[in-house]
Amino acid sequence: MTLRKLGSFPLTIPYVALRGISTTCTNAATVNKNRLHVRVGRFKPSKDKSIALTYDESKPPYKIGLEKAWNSWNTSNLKGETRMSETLTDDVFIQNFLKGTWGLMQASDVVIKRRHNMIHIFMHILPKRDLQPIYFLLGYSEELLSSLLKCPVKLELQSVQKPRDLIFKYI
Amino acid sequence: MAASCGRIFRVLNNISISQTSFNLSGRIRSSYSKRCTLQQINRTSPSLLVEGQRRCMTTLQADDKNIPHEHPQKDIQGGDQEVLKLEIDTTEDEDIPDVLYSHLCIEVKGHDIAVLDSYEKFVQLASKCLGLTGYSVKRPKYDVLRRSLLRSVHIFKKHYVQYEQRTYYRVFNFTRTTGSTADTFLEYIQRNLPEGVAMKVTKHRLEALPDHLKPPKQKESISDS
Repeated sequence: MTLRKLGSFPLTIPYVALRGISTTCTNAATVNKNRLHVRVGRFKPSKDKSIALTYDESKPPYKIGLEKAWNSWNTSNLKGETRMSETLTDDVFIQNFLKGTWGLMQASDVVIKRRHNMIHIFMHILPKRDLQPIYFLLGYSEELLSSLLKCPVKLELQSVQKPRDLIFKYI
Repeated sequence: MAASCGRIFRVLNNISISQTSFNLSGRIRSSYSKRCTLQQINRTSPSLLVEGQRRCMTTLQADDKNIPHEHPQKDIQGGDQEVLKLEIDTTEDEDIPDVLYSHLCIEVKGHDIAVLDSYEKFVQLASKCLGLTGYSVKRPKYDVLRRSLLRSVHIFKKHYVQYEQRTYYRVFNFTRTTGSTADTFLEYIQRNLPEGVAMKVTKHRLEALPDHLKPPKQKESISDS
């Protein structure tokens, strides 16, 4: 994550939360109990409030669907629908590809929406002074992903002036 | 009516609708009643386009004067917005007889019930605007897939947590539509289908009885026997 303070431990977040999963029990006691046991996607506060979190990172996984949305929107997890594992693998591939292509320019997680046969990818970037490389990378990503995934891919970027613009919370 | 619906279908087929609008306050008036109001209102910039074939965007003309719409008719002429009137070719459509559907069944499923609720409202409005009859909605019970996992990372085998995946359903039924109406309607519905929602369409087509099953024609003169 580009917003990490240098030298802090790597924070792993499950950015590939599967569509549609939620906890069954509505009983408050057991729900809270489960929240205590969830270790993934939650961060221990530091003493000097030095860890910066974006909005998505600050919300725990049980808030997905309530205050937080999925990173990947598709129909593969519905009953009677196929390609659950292929879609998931494609999503991980897309995320890795974009991380490698854009690198430090990538400011946020990648949101992947599948509509009909098209894949729309949404991302925040930190633009540099020179815009030509950004246009090149945009076209390059779209072309390569389209030919690798065998369907039209549209990459939609939103630029953020400073990394500080995306920070929601310090813990 | 078939020809006019064919016209509407042709128009929507070539146009990319790049904005989703849930407040359908307009109406596509069919041209057979001599009130054709489909117009290309303005030329959009390339960045807003979904497909680049025909660079245009349609909006539905507002019926009521109370409902404000973005492009009032006065401002169309002149300014930055160009007006292009559609030249619709109807010679092909009149030759081919239109297909008739006795029943159109659209099943929609998704994880989020709120999304399906809003999509239901959208479909209802769209069907009203396009004049489809026999609209009915069924809401079958959701299907669940549950898995029990250990709640704790280490030991505590007695304590589990259950995760589930729900699939909610909506079933829309329409009776007695023509082929062009159905095609137009389905195209509009499907273009605005939210991501994460799956759709299955079943069309029941009316066919003429095959010749070998038709009852014999009664002859005017009684036969020799």
